[in-house]
Amino acid sequence: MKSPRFYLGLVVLFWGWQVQILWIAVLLAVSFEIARSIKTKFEFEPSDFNKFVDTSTVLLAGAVVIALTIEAQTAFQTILKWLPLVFFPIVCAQEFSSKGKIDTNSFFLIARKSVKIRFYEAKQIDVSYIYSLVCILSAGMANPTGSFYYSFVVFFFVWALWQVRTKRVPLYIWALCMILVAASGYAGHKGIYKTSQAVNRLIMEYYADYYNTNPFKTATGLGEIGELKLSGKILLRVRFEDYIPGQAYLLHNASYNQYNNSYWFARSGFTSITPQKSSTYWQINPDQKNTKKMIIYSRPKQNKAVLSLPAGVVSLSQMSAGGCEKNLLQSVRVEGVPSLIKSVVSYVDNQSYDEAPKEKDYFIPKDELPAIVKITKELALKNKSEKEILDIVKQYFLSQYTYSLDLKGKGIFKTPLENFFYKTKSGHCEFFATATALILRQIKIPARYATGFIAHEYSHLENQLIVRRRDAHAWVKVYINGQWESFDTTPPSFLQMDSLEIKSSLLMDLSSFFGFKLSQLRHETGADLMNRFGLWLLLPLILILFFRLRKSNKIKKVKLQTQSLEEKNSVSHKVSFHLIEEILTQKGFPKYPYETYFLWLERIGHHLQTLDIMAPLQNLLMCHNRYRFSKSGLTKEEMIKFYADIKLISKQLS
Amino acid sequence: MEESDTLWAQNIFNRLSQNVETVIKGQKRCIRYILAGFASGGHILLEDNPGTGKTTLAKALAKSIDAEFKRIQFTPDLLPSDILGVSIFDPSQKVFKLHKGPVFTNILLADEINRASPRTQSALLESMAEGQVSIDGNLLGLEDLFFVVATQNPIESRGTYPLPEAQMDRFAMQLQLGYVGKDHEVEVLSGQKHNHPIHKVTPCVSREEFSKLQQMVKEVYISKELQEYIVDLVNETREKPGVLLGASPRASIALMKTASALALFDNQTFVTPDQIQEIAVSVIAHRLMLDSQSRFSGVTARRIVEDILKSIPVPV
Repeated sequence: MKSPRFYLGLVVLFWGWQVQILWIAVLLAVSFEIARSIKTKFEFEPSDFNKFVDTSTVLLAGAVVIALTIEAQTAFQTILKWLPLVFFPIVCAQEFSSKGKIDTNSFFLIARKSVKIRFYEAKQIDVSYIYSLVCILSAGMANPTGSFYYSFVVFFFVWALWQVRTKRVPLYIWALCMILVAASGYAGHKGIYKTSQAVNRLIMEYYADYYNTNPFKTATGLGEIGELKLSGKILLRVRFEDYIPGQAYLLHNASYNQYNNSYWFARSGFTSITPQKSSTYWQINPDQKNTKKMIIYSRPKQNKAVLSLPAGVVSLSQMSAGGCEKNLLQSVRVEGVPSLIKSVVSYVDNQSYDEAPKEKDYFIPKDELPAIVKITKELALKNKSEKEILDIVKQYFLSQYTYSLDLKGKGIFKTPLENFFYKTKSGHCEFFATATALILRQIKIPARYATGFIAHEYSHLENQLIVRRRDAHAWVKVYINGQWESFDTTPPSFLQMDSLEIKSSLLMDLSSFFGFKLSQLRHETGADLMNRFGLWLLLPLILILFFRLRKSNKIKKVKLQTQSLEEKNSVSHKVSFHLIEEILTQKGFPKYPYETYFLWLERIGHHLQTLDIMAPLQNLLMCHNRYRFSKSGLTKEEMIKFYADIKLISKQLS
Repeated sequence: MEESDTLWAQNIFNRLSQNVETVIKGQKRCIRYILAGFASGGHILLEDNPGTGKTTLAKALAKSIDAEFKRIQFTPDLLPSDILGVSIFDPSQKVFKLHKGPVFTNILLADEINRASPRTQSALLESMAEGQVSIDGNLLGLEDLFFVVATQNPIESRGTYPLPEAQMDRFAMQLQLGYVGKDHEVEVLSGQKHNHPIHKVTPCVSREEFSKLQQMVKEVYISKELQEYIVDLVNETREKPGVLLGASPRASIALMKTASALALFDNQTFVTPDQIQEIAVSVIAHRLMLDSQSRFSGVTARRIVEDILKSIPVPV
């Protein structure tokens, strides 16, 4: 099926207009239409088509490489956008070839070598409709929802279908069907879009509840980390410059300063940070001397993430991000990041930049007050130094409480915390941290609740610290000697218990590592190479293309001539009775492939009785049989008469 | 071959056909096929229920041609020598004298061929294939015009020896007469009220004329394309599921020859696909051996050939 004139050109123009590269599209469209208008064509061999397909393949490979390295976030969209240009050589070759079709063998490397493949038969296909479909898809990249785009798509489809409509159905019914299909398509599309949006929203809400590092969430409830911990998936990879084997590092995500109804809230707004020096350097806090370095790799959710950082961060470098924000509680969140975030962190030990203590950092909710007062009295903390107090509190939790991952709720008590104090005496880090913070607040030491991860597992496979989901942790930040310090009262055995209770598998780790390496190659190494060597990387591809095309044979140019009347007649002689078959088939009397003409005429004879042409048809058939099957065939005079008769009867029939 | 020749051939066919039709009513098609087999030098097996006119047809045909006609009624105790002939010692001249059997004739009717023992059957079938017999070590040629019409009865199985497939292959075609329509049967009744019409049949074609007809069949042209079509048809029987043994190249040859004869009867100097399709079932079907599964599921060889005809595109 050949596409009608101007069809390809208009589709390509539509694509160019939508993806805003109209001038390229104009070039393509003009070359397609020139191919249709001029009479000079090229005689391509199958091997010549192979070369055009090769060219397109190399172009596609190049586009993939560039898209993955330069525009990693939107790689797929970029490739799709340029597809019509990538496939242009194939379609152009087809349009300029004398055959007007391409052998399917050209598209499969294996089929080019005359290997016999089961269930596959080489065919000649016209790729113009496939190409126009690619153009329409590609144009869709620019406007995924517009009804304007949809109306154009409908227009192109209707145009294509118009070419193959059956004449049996009246025009108005055909048009009605088209309108019906277009309308229901539009309604269905809208419906699906609405539904998917609603479902998306539901999923987002669910995740927002679940995932405590949602950047727009400023509260965390008791038990959330406990739920979060139930997986051994690797989330972070960390490298400390001065790593001491066996040491555990706290990586801080967010701090919370207000506790109410078993929820911690962060009452602090975010301020935006602009990159300095280079686009990947972010100054978080004022510069310091004697900074230490560490590298951290993490993965974002929907291009957003809250970074897990050590305390005392000064700056982040080599981190590509669309935006970076921090709050006074030293939470750092980033937006518009690639699928692997790398940040090189400069930090100073023993210093924190958190906001100085305020009223909120002493606040204890009414519900919890009785229990807290009771415990503080028991511990006899009055008139002790801050250091002693911390020791006593730590000792208290270590000796009387046990670590457990079970979430026990509030039981018969008013709050979960009371249950923890009076009955269960066991819980996970959130309980320890909350309890500690409130106890310290009771004796007027400012305390905050901090969440994040604890990095302690050194992977020999990856040669760096890995942080799993189960390493999520909560601890206390306590204000001592004019500094905020981390203070962890959870019994140290919890790390061991976690790794025993929450399994991780070697296979998962391996696949995670593989994925990490792949991302690193794509975002770090690839981008680096691209920056350094740029388009030189495409050189091998270009060389391959050059060598493939080098052995090109000379392509013959042929001129399609308009046939003279005489030639036309001789061609039609070959057609002979087939002409009548064609006409009658169109009238709705097709011949079965196994039927001879004689049997066919016998079968459909009674339909043609009114025309009174059976006798001449039989005569013609005898002539045809003589022409086809006899030894001598027809003489020249007989041929001319035969052809005239055929013409006469065809006229009568149609 | 000129057009006048084909007209002459058609005339011969029409004369023979009409002559036989005075005896056998309503079997025009069958007569046409038998004559095609005869003219193309093949032998014919008639298989049908008793009383459908097999023997009468064969006799009428034999009588219509001015040729020698003999008939053998096959029985279980028939011996090969009863067909081929035997040397008998002549005491007066003190030499063995050969008494030629009924096989030395032009038209031979082998009635109820499946009643004789396989040994006797093969004696006949061998002479059919070779055109010669050997008696007591002497090779004797049969007549140039030698045509066997065998009949067999498919119903009775007691005391019969069904022909093996290899020997079925020797027959160019197998025909089934079937019961005629009501009008024809009434005609048969009124025709035989006083005496049998077969007694009134007189020869209408001479032996020479018939030999010439046979010669002309060989000159009918068949295009390469149609030869390929024939081979495709026959080949397909070898690949069709449910068929244990397909048709042999002998089937292709027989199909080509009989189609040529039909073309001549249709006043043509060349074969068209119509003639091939017309005769294909009769020529091919009896050579197929079906596997037991398809036999029990009611598939017949004729049906399989009809299916094949509908599955292969015909050159037009």
